[in-house]
Amino acid sequence: MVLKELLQEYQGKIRVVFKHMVVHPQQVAGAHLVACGAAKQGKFAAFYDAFFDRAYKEYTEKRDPSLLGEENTFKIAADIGLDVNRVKADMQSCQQLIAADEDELRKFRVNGTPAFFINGEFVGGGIPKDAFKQIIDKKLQIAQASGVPGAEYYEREIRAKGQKSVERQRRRAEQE
Amino acid sequence: MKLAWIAATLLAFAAGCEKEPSRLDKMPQSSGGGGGGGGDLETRVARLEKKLSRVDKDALDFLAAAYEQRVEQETKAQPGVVYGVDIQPNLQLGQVEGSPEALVTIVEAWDFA
Repeated sequence: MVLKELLQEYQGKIRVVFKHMVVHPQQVAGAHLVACGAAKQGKFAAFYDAFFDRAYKEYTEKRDPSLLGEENTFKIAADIGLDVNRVKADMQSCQQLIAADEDELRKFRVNGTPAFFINGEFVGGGIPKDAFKQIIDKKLQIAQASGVPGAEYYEREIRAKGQKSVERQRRRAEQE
Repeated sequence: MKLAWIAATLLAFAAGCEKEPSRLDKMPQSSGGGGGGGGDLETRVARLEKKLSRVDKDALDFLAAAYEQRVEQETKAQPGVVYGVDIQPNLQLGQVEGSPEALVTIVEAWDFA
C-alpha cells in the first residue's frame, strides 16, 4: 500500500521491481506461479492486487485455506482476464524464474519479506512511509547529480558498481 | 689447604641445591571442591589439568560462538552499502511498476503471506 502511494507521489521518478520470495510455500506457492504467468501476459500488477484483495485479505479474516487454493487462484486469474490455459502452460518456466529470484536474493542473505533495495541500499522489513521518502529523496539527489539518464541509471550506477553479494563482507569479517 | 677449600665449596654447593620445603606443603589440605583436595602431588596435578582442560573447552566454545555471531552479523546486507541486485529477468517478465525512466529503483522481495 505504501509503495502504491509512493508510486503516485513520485510519478516518473521511482519504479518498483518485484522479486519472488516464497516464504510460505504451502499457502501461496501456486499464487506466485500464477503471478509470474500473469506477468507474461502483461497483467502482473492486476493479479497481484486482485489476489491480495480477494484471497489473502479474506484468508486473514476467515482463516479458510481454500481461499488461497488452486480453484480460487485460477478464478481470480480468469476474472482479471488472464488466459488460464496459458498460465498453466507457463508454470514450469515460472518455477525456474521464481527459483532464480530466490537464488539472487539469497546472495544478499534476504530471508524474509518484505525486504527492499532502494537504489541498492538494503531496507529489511516494512518501514514507515516517511522513512521511505527520506531514502528516496537522498537517492534521487545522488542520481540527479550523476547526470546519468534514468533509463540507464540502475544498470550503470547500481548494478555495475554495487556489490554482487555479501560474500566479500563475509571473507573480510573472517579475516579480521 | 687447597683440598680443604675445594671440600668446603662442594659442601656449600650441595647445601644450596638441597630442595627447600615448599610453602605449599605447609598449607592445610582442603577437602573436596576447587582444584585442591587430597591425594599426592600427581593426583592433584592430574585433577587440576582435568579442570583446566574443561575451562579451556568452555572458553573456546564461547569464543567460537562469538566469532560466528560476528561473522553472521557482518554478512547480512548492511545499511549504507550499495548492492547491485540483478533485476533484468524481472524487467523482461514485466514484474515492475512505474516509469522505465525512473532514477530510483526499489527492488521488493515479496510474498503474498
